[in-house]
Amino acid sequence: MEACENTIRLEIYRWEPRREPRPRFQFFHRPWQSRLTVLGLLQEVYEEHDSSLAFRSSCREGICGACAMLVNGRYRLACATPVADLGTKCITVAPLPRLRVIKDLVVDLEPFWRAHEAVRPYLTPPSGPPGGREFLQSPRDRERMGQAIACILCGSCFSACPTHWTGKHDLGPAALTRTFRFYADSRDGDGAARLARADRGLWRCRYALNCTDACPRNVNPAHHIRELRRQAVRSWLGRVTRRT
Amino acid sequence: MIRHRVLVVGGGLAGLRAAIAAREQGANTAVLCRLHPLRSASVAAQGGINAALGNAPEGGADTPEKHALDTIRASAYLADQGAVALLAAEAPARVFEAENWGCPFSRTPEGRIAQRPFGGAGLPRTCYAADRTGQALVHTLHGVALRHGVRFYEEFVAISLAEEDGAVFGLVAVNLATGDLVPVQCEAIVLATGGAGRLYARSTNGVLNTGSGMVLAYQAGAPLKDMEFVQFHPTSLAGGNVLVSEAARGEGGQLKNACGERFMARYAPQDMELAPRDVTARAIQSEIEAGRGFPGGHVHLDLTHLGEEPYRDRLKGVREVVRAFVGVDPAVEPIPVQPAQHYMMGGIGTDEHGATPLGGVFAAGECACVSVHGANRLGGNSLLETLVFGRRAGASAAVAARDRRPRRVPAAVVSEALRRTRQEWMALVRANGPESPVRLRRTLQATMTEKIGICRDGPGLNEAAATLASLQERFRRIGITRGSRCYNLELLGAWELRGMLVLAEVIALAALRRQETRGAHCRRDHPRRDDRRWLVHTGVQRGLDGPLLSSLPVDVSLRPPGTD
Repeated sequence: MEACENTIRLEIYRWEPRREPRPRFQFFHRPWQSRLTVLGLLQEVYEEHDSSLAFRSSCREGICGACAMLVNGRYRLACATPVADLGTKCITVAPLPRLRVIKDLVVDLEPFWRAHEAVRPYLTPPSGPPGGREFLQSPRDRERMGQAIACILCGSCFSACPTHWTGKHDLGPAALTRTFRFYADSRDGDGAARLARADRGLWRCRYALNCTDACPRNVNPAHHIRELRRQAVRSWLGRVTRRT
Repeated sequence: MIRHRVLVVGGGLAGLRAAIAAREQGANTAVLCRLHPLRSASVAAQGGINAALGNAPEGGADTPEKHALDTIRASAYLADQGAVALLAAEAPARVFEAENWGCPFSRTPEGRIAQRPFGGAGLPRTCYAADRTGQALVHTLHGVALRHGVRFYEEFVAISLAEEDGAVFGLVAVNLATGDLVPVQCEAIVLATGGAGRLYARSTNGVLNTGSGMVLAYQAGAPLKDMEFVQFHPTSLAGGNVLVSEAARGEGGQLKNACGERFMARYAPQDMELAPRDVTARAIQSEIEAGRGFPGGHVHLDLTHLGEEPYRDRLKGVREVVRAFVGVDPAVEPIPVQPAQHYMMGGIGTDEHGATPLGGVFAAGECACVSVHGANRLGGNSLLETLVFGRRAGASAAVAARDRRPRRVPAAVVSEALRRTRQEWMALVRANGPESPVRLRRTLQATMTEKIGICRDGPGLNEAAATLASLQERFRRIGITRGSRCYNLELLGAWELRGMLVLAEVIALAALRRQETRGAHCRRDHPRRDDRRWLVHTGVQRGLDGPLLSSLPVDVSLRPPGTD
């Protein structure tokens, strides 16, 4: 089946595991509009064809991370993906792979959030705040955190990581990126412990770069993982040379 | 039954700050949220948070008093001035606290928190983290809440409060993943559900902002306050109404009509593009209505003269958003913008501790009305309000919960509420009338945007009230698809729609009653501010046969109108 000139041929993954034995794809034809986003398309389907469709969405502007999904096989935020950018009028939408499907495009992100919590995603300063004011941090020091502060925890990289597929990667790229974000923060005093906690995931990374490829916000988790590894080796060498 | 001492409804900034404050008081605290807290609307706040820190070279002489005065002036004297003084006085402490917790604020060359100018403020007072201030704050506070051991119930939606004789002992929530109704018992509730932008067809709000907390409180008997004051943001992207931050104007963006004129010179010759939001939104609307807009109903926000420099950090997100949603590079081409609903100044009436007249119920953030915004909110004051009053509400809730001596067995009240709510919920599940919730919702949104939008008049408001009454009538004949209970968005949407219709009626009646133009409330048939009659808050309470409206006094103890 081909899409015509002025229509979009939309294919949506549907499955409610409690009631249906296996997933299926449902087809829709929608009129082509150049400024429509994939989320807008899903909203139209929900409102005009099938209101049993389940999907997450919130901000509509690519900052909350709720609508991460696979669009034509690529990780995308549905709300920040204009259909005009896809280069085709045949669109396939599926949930984030390798996560348990709750219903249709809604997946269970519980393992992802547990990994996030495990890296203690909060600042641990070495000493109390300086006299009721802010910690000083130069613009340059702030830049060390780089794009890691732009991570919105949408779950794409977690879903895309091949080490996670083997079930042995208990942290995953986003949690390691968050570790880097605090490790690189000049205000944090917990560096050694952060490296120790990250150890569980840091060395299982096979550097497939799927995370960097998947990230819809141009964060580069693989780069942050490599940087953390470098720091871990450096601190280990430091300990060894001090001993001898 | 789920039991907690303090229950926060809403996982945005106000809810997170309240939960942290309640934990700081030692209370067992949980947060119910419609999605994960990191998905809440607060993350979309771009511009920043106001505090008189005096970090910018030009801002050295800034004081909380000046901040309060700017807020009072922008509010058209309808803000309660004691509350505004608190907001401004506690601002530096809350911002430093967020920084000390790790919020990655942008920095001055000296390493202090960077501040920039914002509309309606005399000095650079708005602290920011590039143009992702909301996201930076939410991620920071969520981390701190985890550290404090706050329990989160994600994808749980509160649908009714367990109220008896003016006191609340818990609520009934629906667990979206299973569709089960869940009773929750608690000593105190903090409502922090945010705004109600989804009442409007054109809104910058996310899809979750249906005003659910305001509805919960109103249905349980708490008065809503100043609901006619709805802020329209002057610059949302034409079409999908994604927000273009006020920072774009703060950095020097110019508004131009189809004739290429910088038309703000006619409306606000002194402040130009940095005039308060109500003035700017009305100016744009007037240009469009006078036929000087572009086809499709928008004007241009021109940043092309600024070059590449601002996009390296301060306006990076603005460029990304504009590119993604209208396919325009702001460095090269002007941005098509139009006004859209942005913020509810009104909400659940609270005192300075976030307390409502309902026993055990507190409220904070956009769903509350303390009131610090009066008739018009200053940019950068909403994030501030969530932290200042979120903390106050959370702490007061924890203290009140500790001292509470209920007259009845709370569990019995909650069970009774569960029984009643289940009946109503099942009636909706089985509803098989001819009316579709989607159609009703669209009519509601169109009515609100056309008749209760930027400019209003008596006849239009009367028509709106009649349309809304007919929508409530039609809602009785609604039909819901027979579907699974698991993640049933249609059912939840219909439940929310019923509440939105109630809220819309309240807004229409309040707007009809206030026969003057003040701040964001613009009546074409009453174009002047009338301090003699209308320097009052509008209170709306649920009565036996419809809303009861009343006037409540405004606190003008610091700076009475007409003194400057």
